Amino acid sequence: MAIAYASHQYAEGSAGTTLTITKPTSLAVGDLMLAVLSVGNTTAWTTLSGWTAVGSTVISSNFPTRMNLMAKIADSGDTAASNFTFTGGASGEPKMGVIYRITGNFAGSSTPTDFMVVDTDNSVTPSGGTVTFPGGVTPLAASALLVFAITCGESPGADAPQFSSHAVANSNPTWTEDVDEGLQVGAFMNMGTAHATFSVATTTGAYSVASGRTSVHGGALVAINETTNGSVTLDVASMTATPQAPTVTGGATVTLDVASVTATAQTMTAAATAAKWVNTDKSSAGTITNPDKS
Amino acid sequence: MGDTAQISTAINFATDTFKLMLLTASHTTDIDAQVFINSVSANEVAASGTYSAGGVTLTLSASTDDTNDKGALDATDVSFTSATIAARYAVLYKDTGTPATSPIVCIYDLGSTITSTVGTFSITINASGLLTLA
Repeated sequence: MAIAYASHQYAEGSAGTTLTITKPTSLAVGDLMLAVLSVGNTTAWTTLSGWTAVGSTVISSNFPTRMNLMAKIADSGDTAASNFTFTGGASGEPKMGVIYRITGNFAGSSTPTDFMVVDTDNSVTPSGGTVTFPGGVTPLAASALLVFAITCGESPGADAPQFSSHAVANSNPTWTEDVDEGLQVGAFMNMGTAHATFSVATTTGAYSVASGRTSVHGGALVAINETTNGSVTLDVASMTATPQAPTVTGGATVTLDVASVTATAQTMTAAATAAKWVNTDKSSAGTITNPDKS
Repeated sequence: MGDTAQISTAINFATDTFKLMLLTASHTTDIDAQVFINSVSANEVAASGTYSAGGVTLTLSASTDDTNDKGALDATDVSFTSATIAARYAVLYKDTGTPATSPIVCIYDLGSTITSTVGTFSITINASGLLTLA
């Protein structure tokens, strides 16, 4: 299952110190919930039990605004709930929030921060109608889901869309705007969010948005990857040792072995000959001798 | 691959410590220049999950094939959990404790970059072993 935006629920209010947001439709166990909460105050939102704080921005001067981001992998208690109530700010201050429902495989992680990369920036002033937040994020892997959140405070104002042309400096994807709201309760506050699928695993670079407001803005960019496994079987390597013929080079001393010849003794044979009387000078008066003395 | 090191450095597959290090696709193999592990470790994947810098120590075993006059070095499979890894190469090397004196035995090209994201990265040793010697 590839990671994907599934739905979101938005809420706003000013009464009390809480904001209740309806559970995103079709929330299932294992889905990721990402909450973006803004308040016209510098008092932080309290991290809801079981949720993980993943980022925050603070605009402490001019028009104080605070934005907090929290995440949680939905369990059976969450899917059984009908809404989520967050605590932050003071009574009479504008409060706005959205919960994203994101589907994908998030198994094997102990906290949402394992598979999220978050960048936040405070107090960035628009230039020529565009707010550019430096930094950016480098997703853990390609095909990350990006969520872009902006907040600002200004008074007076109108509850009308203020944000457009969301972008990142590198490999800018196609953005879908999800929230673009304003709320005037004493102070005026705007909050906007958008999402996109980022195809590469390299840095987004700076992120920017066209804004109709001129006050300082806070921004957050979140890259979310699902968990994936990798496996490989190694090829077998081989090493072969080849004997080499020795080479005699000049100057080497070679000692010859002594050669040997072996003679085999033969047995002498004596042939016996019958003795004969011979007249050696063949004369009639000659001496008759026995030449072999036998 | 570490050819001179194999000649000049004693390697005892029975007693030495051998590790497997993962490298990114930024690595380029140079069999002449890459003798010790410090010559390639600049492109090691970042520590993540249960994968730590320097790689994993292997559990080795050896076998012989008298019919084909070969010896085989085998190892148990390894895996890293909760790991975000993008690896293209795996390097088998003898770990002396000092990268500059730890000779590379061989470098495996995984064929493509294998990735895990906060997941399990598994390496299966070939059924024929890690390395054959003939």
